Amino acid sequence: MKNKTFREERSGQILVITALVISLLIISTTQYFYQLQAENKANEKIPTEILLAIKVGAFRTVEVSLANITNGGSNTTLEENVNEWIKSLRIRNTYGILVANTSLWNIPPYNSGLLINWSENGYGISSACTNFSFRLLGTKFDVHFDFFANITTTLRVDGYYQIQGGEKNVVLICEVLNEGNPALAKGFEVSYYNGTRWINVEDFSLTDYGNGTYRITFNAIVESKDVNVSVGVIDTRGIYAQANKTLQRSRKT
Amino acid sequence: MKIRENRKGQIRIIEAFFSALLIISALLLTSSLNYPNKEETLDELTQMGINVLLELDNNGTLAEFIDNQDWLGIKRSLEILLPNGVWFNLTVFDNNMTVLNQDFSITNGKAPSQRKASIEYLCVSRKTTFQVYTVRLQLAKVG
Repeated sequence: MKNKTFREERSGQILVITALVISLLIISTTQYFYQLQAENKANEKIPTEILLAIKVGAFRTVEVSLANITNGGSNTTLEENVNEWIKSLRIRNTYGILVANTSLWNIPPYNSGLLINWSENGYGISSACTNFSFRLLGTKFDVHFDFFANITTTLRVDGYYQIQGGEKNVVLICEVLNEGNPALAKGFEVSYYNGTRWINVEDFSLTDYGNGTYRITFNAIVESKDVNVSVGVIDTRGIYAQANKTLQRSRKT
Repeated sequence: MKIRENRKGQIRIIEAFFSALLIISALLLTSSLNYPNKEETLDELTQMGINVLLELDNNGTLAEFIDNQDWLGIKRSLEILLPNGVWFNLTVFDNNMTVLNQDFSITNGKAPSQRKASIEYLCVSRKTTFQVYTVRLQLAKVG
């Protein structure tokens, strides 16, 4: 009877303590899940966007360098530009400590990150390739990422000629590719060899099929049986590629 | 004896009231944690800013606008890409951190008093002469 009275007297205090424990449990559990969610958000989202921004910059640097080199710039431009971009990135990066390593692709046919082959068989390639390796160390993330920035403009030229009066009517089919995919051209340069020198063709007719394929026609005055042509293209990125081809007479009418 | 028992009843009520108060306040506190706080809004704005700049730069538009000093083009693009109720101010710097758009403010109004998110983005020029621009975009929620 005495025990019962004691229990009855303390039951109110037990109620308060139980309520306190429940409250603490609610608060700590909710805060734990909240923090976990916030950490995951920081871990997943922020570095992805930074990575993309860095990738866009790296590809653009290689692209601009290749445009410069193929338009008469020095072959060292690629290395100089990549170094300058990395320097700017280190200075301006506000997301954490950035460790960057770059290497110009040197495995044949590439040399010092470049492959420029403007051949005689109707195929021309202008390409630059650099390997980038980054480590971004922030307060809530430590990300390691590597990628290759490969920029390639390819030109394929094929064609034939037909005799038209005293002249040779040349028909060329040109295909422009960016990283292996059809791409648009900003402009073409066409010339042919007349036996003594290269003649620049000013008034050629150009048909754009809209899918990276172009048809060029012009008249050439050439004595020889075959006609040597040279086609140069500047793509929309400003990269120049050139291909030479020896054309033969077509019997088609 | 009777008076004492009556008082006990009042104490029980106070204790029960106090217990209920504890649990309710705990629930109120946790529910307030689920709402985004100022810090979260700032992260959201930072992400929005980087995404907008990435979208503009990915296809070379941003670099072309800067190369051609087409500040109005940048302003119009930001007005289209950013949602209503977001204030922006964009500044373009060259390699030496000299402001390039000194004569034209790329903004959609007066700076609000709210906290601002500031994003610094590196944009490589499309000119054959190599140039890296620093683009500083400030964003804030209005209202």
